[in-house]
Amino acid sequence: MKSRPSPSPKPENTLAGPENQLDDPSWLAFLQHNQPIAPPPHPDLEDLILQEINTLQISTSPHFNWRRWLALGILGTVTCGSLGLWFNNQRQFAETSHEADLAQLQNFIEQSYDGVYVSADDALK
Amino acid sequence: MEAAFNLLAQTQTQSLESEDPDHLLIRSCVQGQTHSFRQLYRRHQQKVRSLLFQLCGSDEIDDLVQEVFLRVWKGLPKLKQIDTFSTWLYRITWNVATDRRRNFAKRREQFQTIAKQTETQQPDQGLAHLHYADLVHRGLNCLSFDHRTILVLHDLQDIPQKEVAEILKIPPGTVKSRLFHARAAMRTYLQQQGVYL
Repeated sequence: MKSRPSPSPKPENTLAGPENQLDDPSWLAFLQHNQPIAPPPHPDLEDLILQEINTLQISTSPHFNWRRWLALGILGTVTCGSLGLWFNNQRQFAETSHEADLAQLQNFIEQSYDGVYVSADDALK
Repeated sequence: MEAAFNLLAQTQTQSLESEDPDHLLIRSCVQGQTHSFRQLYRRHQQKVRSLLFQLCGSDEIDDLVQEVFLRVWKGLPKLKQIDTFSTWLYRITWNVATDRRRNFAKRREQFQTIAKQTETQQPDQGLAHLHYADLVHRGLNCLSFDHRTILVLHDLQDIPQKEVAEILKIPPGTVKSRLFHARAAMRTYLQQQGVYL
């Protein structure tokens, strides 16, 4: 025996196939009208939740994220160290190359000078 | 000058009046005001409770509600878009329901057997309505958890498909597909029980 739920469905919706049931008003009305109702809460539930929350008071303030700061600290130290090493290497390289250049230049001038001097003497003779 | 000042004050007053009450409560909660959280709880506890009941049954429902609101309290400072509070709250509720389902599946099944027996013995207050409500409850229990979730959120809680997709973090097309199959399964169950819509 078939029973009729409230609100009473329209005749054209009777035995409607799944393809016709999207947003079917009588379907939605039936489900919403007959949806299972949750049992009432325990009378003290609200106070219990508030009590729990009072013990978590600290968590509402912006908390110190030590992991984040530790990671940033490590990253900063590594970056500063790398930059320091690179700068030091550059400076050492510049100093050594400067000394080498000077020695080479001095050597070149001496050799060139000797060549000019000798060739001038030969020309006078 | 004075007129401009009055206009500005009036605009500010209107914006405060038109602002969602939740927004003020949330800002107050983030500053640690527990009395605002009490109001927030009172405004939303019914829909949270209802959703949990429809997804998990009545076993330990008070504990689940408590778990949801504790997570809300802890998470509020991290909530960047206050406008999405409702979606966020549903998401937390769904997470709690999912966790609970995973952890206590066996216990729930045992309880549902008892619950079914007790629900059918409820007092005479609109027997037809109780009968259909019981059928819907049983029908929901027959669905897979995914289908039940979609049906509860969309058809019972009346949440738009787009928001359901955001709550469950699935594509809108998946919501539509699951809703179609969930309704088909529910309709089949109801027809087996002699209810034709």
